[in-house]
Amino acid sequence: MGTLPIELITEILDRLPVESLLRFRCVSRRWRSTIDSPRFVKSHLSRSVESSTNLSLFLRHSSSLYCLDLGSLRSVVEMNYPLMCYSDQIKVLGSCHGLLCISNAADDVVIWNPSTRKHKFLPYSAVEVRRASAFSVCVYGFGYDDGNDDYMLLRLVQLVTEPIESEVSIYSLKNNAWKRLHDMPYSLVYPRKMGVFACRRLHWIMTRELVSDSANLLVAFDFRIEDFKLVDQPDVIDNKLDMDVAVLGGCLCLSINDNHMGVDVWIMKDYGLKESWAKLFSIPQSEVARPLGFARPLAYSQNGRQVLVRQDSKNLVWYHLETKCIKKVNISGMPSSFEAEICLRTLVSVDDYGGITKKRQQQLEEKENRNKRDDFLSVGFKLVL
Amino acid sequence: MASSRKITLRSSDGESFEVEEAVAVESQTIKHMIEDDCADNAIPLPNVTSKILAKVIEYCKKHVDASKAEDRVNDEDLKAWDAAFIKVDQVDQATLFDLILAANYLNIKSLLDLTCQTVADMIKGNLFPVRNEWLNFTFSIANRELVLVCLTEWVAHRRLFCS
Repeated sequence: MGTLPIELITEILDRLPVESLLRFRCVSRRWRSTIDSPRFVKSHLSRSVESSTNLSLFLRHSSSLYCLDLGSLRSVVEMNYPLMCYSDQIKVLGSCHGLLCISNAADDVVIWNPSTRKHKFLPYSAVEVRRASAFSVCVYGFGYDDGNDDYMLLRLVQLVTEPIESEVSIYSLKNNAWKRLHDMPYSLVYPRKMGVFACRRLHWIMTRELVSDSANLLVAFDFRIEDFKLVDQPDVIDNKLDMDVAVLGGCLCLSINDNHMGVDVWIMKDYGLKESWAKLFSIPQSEVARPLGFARPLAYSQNGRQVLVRQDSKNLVWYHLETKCIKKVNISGMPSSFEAEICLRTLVSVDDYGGITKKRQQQLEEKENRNKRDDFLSVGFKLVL
Repeated sequence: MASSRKITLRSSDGESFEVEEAVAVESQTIKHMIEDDCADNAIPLPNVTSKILAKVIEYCKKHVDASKAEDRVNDEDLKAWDAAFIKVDQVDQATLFDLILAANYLNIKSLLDLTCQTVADMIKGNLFPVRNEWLNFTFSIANRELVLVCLTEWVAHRRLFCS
């Protein structure tokens, strides 16, 4: 058997699941340094994204977080997250590249990789705009800025007053710091919906004025310009209806609840191109027993012919794009009501992020010297190490 | 349609294989050699034995035929052929690793993908055969998968030390 050079071993490792890779860090020093290297982590991540493998579905019910493998959808595992829940519910703020961002009732926020089990608490950032009598709304959006190779958490705080006051802050994982940005020119429509990260931007449904008949706007926050921009919606839809943003297979989706007739789901095949909006599927009210609230598409099936849809907070269904048939997903241990988040399984690290720190450099040098000594011993004394 | 040129490939052990140009250029390495006009005589491939070269040629021929066929060969049929081609009990482990090296040297992306994916699947499915002489020393690691991967690495390193 020929010895494979490290580049070819990397080709093989690239195709292995994260659990295996974490175990194989113990096989040899060569394997450990390969698996830990940022370059390998990135290539493993991009392969997972391209082939839609290594996907998990996280279900949140009150203060419990459950995980199931999207490929098999077989059993539900309850996860231990690194947060105190204080007997109150936790919130999933978003997920990106295998990192899950969650917070609790005390507003502690943690960025966590459930596969490697490493986490990082965010520094506390006080909300500046607060008034005793006003009702405030706070939502987050978690995403990746490929320009700076950095993970960002955006916080939008809005005081529901006349005129609307808002506060926009952004956290950068690389700098481990919050920064206040200028206020957003729109108002949030849904007080509890977190931002949807798609095509390098965070999306929300917003509106210009908070009155009952105002039109819904699809707003995107772009990390590169650190500002909000409008995204064109399909012409034919009525933008005064209930809308929900989602991401499916990397494309932005809009699901519109057509006044209790059913839900239409539109997908923007080419981001930014208004003409590329296409109706992906519809779930008519007649197919569903209870009054349909919303239907959020989560992911495609392995063969791409079915879409996993979260219907209201109680059901997960497979919608077959060709036959248009709806099949409910029944898994033992699934909570009765839940919020769902798709999360990749990756090796992306939360600490030691953004390159080599000085301490790490010293550690690596020490290791090198130790390796040299070991090699000398083994060659000199014909030892097998 | 003009008859396609025949290219001669010579393996490391001196055997010559005559193949159609269309088949030979499945390998980006050979394609560049032809483009650089180094292919007048036989193309020497010092890193590939005749046994492996025969298999590589078989793979390339099938894939070229599949894309040329009048009624395009179904993607699924081709995948099934690939699976049979690489099936573990036909292709023993040593051949599998040699195919990876050959696919890499000859720069045939689809063959590299197929072989690497096969090894990855074998690791996931715990299919690496453990030969008797490797069990001469004991491991007390509970995880069988890790033992198998360790043994693979150990054997690879042992060969380095022994040679």
